[in-house]
Amino acid sequence: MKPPPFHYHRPDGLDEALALLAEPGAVALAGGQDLVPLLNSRRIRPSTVVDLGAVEALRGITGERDGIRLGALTRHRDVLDSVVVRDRLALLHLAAGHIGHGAIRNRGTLGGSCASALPGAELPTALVALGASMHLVSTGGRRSLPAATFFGGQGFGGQFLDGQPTALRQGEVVEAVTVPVPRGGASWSFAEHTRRGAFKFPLISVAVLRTPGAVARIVVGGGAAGPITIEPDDPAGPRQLADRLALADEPQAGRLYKARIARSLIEQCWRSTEVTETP
Amino acid sequence: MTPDERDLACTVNGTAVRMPVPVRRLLSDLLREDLGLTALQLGCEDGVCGACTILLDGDPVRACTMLAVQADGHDLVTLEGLQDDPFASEAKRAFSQAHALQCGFCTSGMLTTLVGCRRAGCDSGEEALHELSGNLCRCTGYLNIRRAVRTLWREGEAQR
Repeated sequence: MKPPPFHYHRPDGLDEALALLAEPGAVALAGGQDLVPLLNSRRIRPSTVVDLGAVEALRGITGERDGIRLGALTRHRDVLDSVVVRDRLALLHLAAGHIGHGAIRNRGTLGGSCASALPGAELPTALVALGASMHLVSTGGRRSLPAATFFGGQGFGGQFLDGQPTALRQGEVVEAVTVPVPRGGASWSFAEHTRRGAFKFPLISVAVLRTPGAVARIVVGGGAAGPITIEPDDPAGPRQLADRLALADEPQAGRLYKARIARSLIEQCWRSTEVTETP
Repeated sequence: MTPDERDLACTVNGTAVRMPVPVRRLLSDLLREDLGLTALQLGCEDGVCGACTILLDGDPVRACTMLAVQADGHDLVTLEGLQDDPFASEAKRAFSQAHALQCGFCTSGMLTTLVGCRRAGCDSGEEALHELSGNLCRCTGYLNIRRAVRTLWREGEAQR
């Protein structure tokens, strides 16, 4: 199908973009890899599409004191091409490599992926494991949230009152994400299960980060509750995991099937990581 | 120009294009309907099947998940624009010889993806096949497509 009618703006400046997005019925367009299919199938009918593509302030990968800051318009391809990300945020690099195919990674963006937060999506799972901060901006100002809170897996009981997948409010966009660099001696792993190689959208994604002297983070994505963190010694079996992730039955994948996949991916990731205590 | 149209300026297959386009027009429809470039096909309009793959500034993208207005200022190449590309010609020959197509609906997207792969420095048939798994074919059963790709990356019978 084809997109329904809408008004379109392509502002250069962030302030102008935010003013346009403050209007009810406006949606932000970044790489379009989630949004344009939604328009094509008319699952959404926005009054206005605000194309952020020209807003330079949303681009760039920079090293900061508390980690690496990635602008919302950073494409998955840019994450993969970035030497800084490869060397210092290898878990994020690994997760980005699992996203779709080249054609999707050439357009899809970090901010877009986080805003649509589809269940199982790679970046939300990896960002929660890495303890990233999500920087949000609107005409009302700026605020930052831990990734786990932003994606709703923790702290909100997995549910936002308005049924949205993230903590984003009307008129608010992801401006950037800051990801702390894991300490030396840390090890990590990422794995996912996809329905088939071709579309490659994961049913379940799992990220593990083990840091010397800190509690290991095991994060599972794929349910309606957003990525959840489980403790290393958590005995949660498939049934508990299915409940905590709020997994839904789908025609080709029942909730217990998905939970068993999750359990198996967790074990696989755990086995492939180990922590060597540095003296 | 009505309020729901925007001026678009881009390059398509080496030729400058300047025209008003409705803002809700998909890039795939602009190329097929307005510019008559019918090599690319529309399978799913959901970004899944890969039949509408084109090169945007040299990199493969799905034309069905872009609004035409987003192509402003960019360089677009469809399969029609790859007629003089030596690797594209070689790929067409390999597909033909291996009987890697029946109806041909998916072929232009596959060839465009492979050209993008080669230009990105993809150095093994395995890697190319991994990328090509984003393109669906509903008639050949893929074996012949795999054979054509192996041939293109000069990988012999033994490695199939």
